Amino acid sequence: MAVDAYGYTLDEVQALEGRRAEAPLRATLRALLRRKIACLALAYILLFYLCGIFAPAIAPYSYSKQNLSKTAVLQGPSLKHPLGTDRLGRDMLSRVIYATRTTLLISVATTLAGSFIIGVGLGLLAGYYGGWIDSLINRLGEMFGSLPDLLIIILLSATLRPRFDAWIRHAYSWPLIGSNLRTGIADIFFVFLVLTAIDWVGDERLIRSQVLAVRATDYVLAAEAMGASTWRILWHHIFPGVRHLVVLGVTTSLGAVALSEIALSFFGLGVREPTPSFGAMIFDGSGLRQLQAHPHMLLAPGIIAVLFFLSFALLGDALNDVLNPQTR
Amino acid sequence: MNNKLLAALGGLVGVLIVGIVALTVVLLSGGSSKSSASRSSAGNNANTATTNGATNNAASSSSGKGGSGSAVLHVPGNDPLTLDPALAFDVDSSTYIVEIFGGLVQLDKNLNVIPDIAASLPQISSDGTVYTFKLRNDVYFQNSNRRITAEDFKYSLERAASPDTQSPTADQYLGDIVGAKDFIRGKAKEISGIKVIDDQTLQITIDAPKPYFLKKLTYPTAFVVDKDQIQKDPRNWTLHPNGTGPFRLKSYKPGNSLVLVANDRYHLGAPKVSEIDFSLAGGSALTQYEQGQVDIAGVGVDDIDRVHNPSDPLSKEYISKPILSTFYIGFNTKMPPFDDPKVRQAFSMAINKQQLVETILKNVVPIANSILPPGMPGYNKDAKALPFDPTQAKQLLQQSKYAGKLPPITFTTSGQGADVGPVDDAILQMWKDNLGIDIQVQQVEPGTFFSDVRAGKYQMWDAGWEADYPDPEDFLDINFYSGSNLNDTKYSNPQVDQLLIAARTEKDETKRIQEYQQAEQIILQDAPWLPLFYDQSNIVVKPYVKGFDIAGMVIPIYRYVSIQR
Amino acid sequence: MSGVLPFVVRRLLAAIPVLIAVTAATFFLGRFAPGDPITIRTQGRATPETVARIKHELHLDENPVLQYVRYMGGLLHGDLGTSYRHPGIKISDLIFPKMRVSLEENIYPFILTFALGLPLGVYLALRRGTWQDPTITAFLLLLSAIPVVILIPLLQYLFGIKLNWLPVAGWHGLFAKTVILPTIVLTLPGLAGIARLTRISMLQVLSEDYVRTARAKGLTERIVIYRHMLRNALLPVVTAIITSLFFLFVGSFFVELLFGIPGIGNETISAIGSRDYDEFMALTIFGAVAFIVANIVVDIVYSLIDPRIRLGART
Repeated sequence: MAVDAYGYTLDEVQALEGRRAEAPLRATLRALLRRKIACLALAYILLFYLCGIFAPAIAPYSYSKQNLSKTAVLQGPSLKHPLGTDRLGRDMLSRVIYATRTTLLISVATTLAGSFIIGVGLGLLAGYYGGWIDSLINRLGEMFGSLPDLLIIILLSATLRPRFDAWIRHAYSWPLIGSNLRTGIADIFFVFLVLTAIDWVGDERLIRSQVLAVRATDYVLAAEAMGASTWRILWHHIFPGVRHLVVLGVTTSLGAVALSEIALSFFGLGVREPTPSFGAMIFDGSGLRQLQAHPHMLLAPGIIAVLFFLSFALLGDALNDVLNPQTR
Repeated sequence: MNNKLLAALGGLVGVLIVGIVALTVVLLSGGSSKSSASRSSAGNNANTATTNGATNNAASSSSGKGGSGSAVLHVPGNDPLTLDPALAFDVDSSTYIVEIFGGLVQLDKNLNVIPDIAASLPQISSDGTVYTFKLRNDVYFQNSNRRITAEDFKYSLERAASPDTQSPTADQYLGDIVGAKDFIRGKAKEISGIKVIDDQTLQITIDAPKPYFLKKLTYPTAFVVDKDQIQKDPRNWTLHPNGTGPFRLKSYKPGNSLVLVANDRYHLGAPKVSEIDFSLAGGSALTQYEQGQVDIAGVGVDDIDRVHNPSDPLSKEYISKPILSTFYIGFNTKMPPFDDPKVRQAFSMAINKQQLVETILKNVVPIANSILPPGMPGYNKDAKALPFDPTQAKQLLQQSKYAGKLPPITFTTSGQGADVGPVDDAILQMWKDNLGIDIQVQQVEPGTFFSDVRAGKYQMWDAGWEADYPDPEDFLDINFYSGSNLNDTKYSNPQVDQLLIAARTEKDETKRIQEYQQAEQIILQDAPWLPLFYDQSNIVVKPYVKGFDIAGMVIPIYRYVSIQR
Repeated sequence: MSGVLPFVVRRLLAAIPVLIAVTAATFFLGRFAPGDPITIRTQGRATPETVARIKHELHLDENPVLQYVRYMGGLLHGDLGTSYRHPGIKISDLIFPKMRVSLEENIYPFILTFALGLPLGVYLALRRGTWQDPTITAFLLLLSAIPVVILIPLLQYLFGIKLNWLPVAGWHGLFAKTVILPTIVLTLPGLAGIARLTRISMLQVLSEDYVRTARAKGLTERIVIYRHMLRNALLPVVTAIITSLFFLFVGSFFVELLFGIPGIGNETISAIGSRDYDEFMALTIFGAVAFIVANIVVDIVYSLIDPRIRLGART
């Protein structure tokens, strides 16, 4: 059996170092669930996502039904409308519920594609192989990163979106997909594309720098010296060393993308009416005079959204602690 | 161990702070090396003539009463795009330009043409094409003490029309002058229609007896500018412009503030307020009003209930007046299905304007039932716009050639907010409810919007049209004459064309108004536009501010304002 | 440090193609976007003929590649161009004052974030296991989780309208009351982040596991590992500091919009909206250069802190 310079086998080195807790998934979850705050945060997030999934079943009214009479418009919370109504007499509670669906779709899709697949993948490659692969990926990252986020988004939306819209309108007549497109899925898809293009860079750099650090440790060097295959090294030695960051990255991304969606809506570049989104509702309610006159317009979506982001932050924090027991 | 670490961290923080402070000192002190008034440094303020130190206080203190000098007016404003009268095209720039500069004539509060640098209204020849202006002899440039002569006007008008200036307005406002069109295109060395008879006399000849020409001269393109200044400093003269208006530009910090100071030698009477401080920062104007930082503020939909409520103190400070602007939905008369007037009429009659204005807009603006807004000569309060009649609307749709086979329809609006706005939302819903048609909505960036509308790409859109000068020609001719290249609906009706052409040179004022009103009525029936509402200015003014009157257009108003505490 | 200089040179050379790519991408994307500055400036009121004439005079109707070459040529001479929407005003005159404002806007938050965050992080690390740690952390997280667009109106309402203590909008330099609310809003997210980052890093250093390993490996190893861990622990914090430093000039758009601060963030958006090509090219270039330089500096610092991390190449 191969041993390193100090006479330890690969497995013994790992056990002794113990720096990366190779906690199997079950143990992680158990540890996580023992922490009360994490449980609460997780519960809220799941509730939020469930609302999104079952929106049509839960929402008391349609999100687009208007009621244009003076007594129905801009009402505060009441028994009939627990979160009040907006400028057009639409029920805020239903709109908030449907908005969770929008957020769900966008953030999950974007995180999966951007953060997870592209970001982590490229980070591993860049950090491990180094050399020209690293340089290339870094330059790519710099390109995407140096263009101010907002600028890219606005430019992309200004240039591509009208053409995208025109193209989508042709697809309305397609058999299965057509009716779904009218519900705003196309919008969501476009936003997803744009956000993914931006999202991957942060994770890639994070993973890469950690991979760089881990690569240089004794046990990885030892493994390489012992002729372990690249795949084994990546999977058994490097990945565990960055796994906590991946989880952290994904959790952060889910939250960050939701935040970006709100920002996009401020520019009218997010999901558009009548598909409800938190960004649109917050934009509507955030005018100072509006806030003074009808606080529920901001507070209703605002509180739900803030709790959502808070839950992500707490969850991320808790995950971090769990995966690095020495930092607990 | 712990101590060493803490020491290391503390050291790092210390170094950082020292570094930052050094950086800050260096940057803040070395900021204004170039001398341009647009740099935001207090040093420049001290250099330009300051009448009272109150301005500095007012500009830099953020709360408390408006300035220590009682003759300073604080108003919220927007950044101008330019201060060059030949280049200005927007309300924001014009607001300042009409105060800093002047021309032969201007508009008074009732939108009548009154003399400015001209001593009196011009003598017009019997065939209506030659305007002879006698100039006053007591008009001086603010900063250079030079007296204005007719030569200055010839220079200014030709400069505005010169290809080098790239003015977007010269064509429209000076194009009626004989020889102007050639000059603008670089085919002539001067404008033959502008003649300097002597120092005090200017003669302008136009190509046809157009009664609205005089009103066009009130627009900034025709203002007088200082030849010496421009020739000495062609790039940067607008940063300290030398004009003839009631106010001088004292300082301009982009995004921050713009300060005008009174020109005591103004020939129509010195302004009563010594200084105006325009706060450009944005943010809620009404909040700043309530905090005492500005003396005038606009009232939006969210606060309109408060000012209408007699028990709310704000209601006593509330003024409201119509603005010469109409907001409408435009239909592309060359694109299906709106090439069929019945469809246009159906769509128009399916909209309940009353509900829109009352419920959503809380009556901040009045409903429009005509093209010409109130305050515009020729405004016809009995004009018959298509009424709200959903039954009739459905019938019309059935009778149209697209009955049962309507193509997909898209409604385009401009803007960059999170959504198309509640009014558009409601309108779309009304079409759905009353006509059973699902309209797609498309929100387009303002940059793209105008050129695409012009190019005829959209089926229908919404927009507003503001008056540039108080004459129905500006509304009806420009938008509905079949040969006009600003006719976005591509509307073409020979009867309307005939009326419009006749009205252009009609000498009898009554007959002229009649011709425009007739044309308007036909247009309302044909419905290339669905007029929704007119614009309204709703503001609150502090009780110690006297003489502030809203006019329907941008005119010089600040010289009438005084502050009495 | 023999390895540093060639590294820097190499990176700077590598940066050139990136910059060219960035400028080209922005330039052509901008030209490709529908709409143009002249039509926007005239709000659709000028005749198409006039617009065409002005565009011709400004070379906007030329082949985009030609325009690009012309622009880059000007750039190499230090000419940032002239604004299209503010006719006659040079870009440098337009954006430098706004950069100053953004810098001012960011200075207090920068100092406060680190001056408060680092000690706070250390404090939390030392207090782990007690009730203070999770409570304060949760509180910090709450504050930083509130999106700016919600936080700002709420603060404006509370301090501006209800209590009438602070002005709601405007910017009057570093010594006026208008700095207070924006500083609070800009410090909070960074503060929470730095505090947590420091805390985690500290805990890694102080953890007991490595001590066990060190003992197992022999006492002389302890010092090496200790230094190694300390450096690694500091890495994220140092990265954060350096990156923040370079972005002091970039203003946050929402903060500037909602507080009415005439900074770069605000300016970028209106430049794009008005298709003021030269202006947002200049802004993009500044941003790109800052980003690239920040990355180079961070890489250098990384390698200084941990010599085992070679500069870029595979060991």
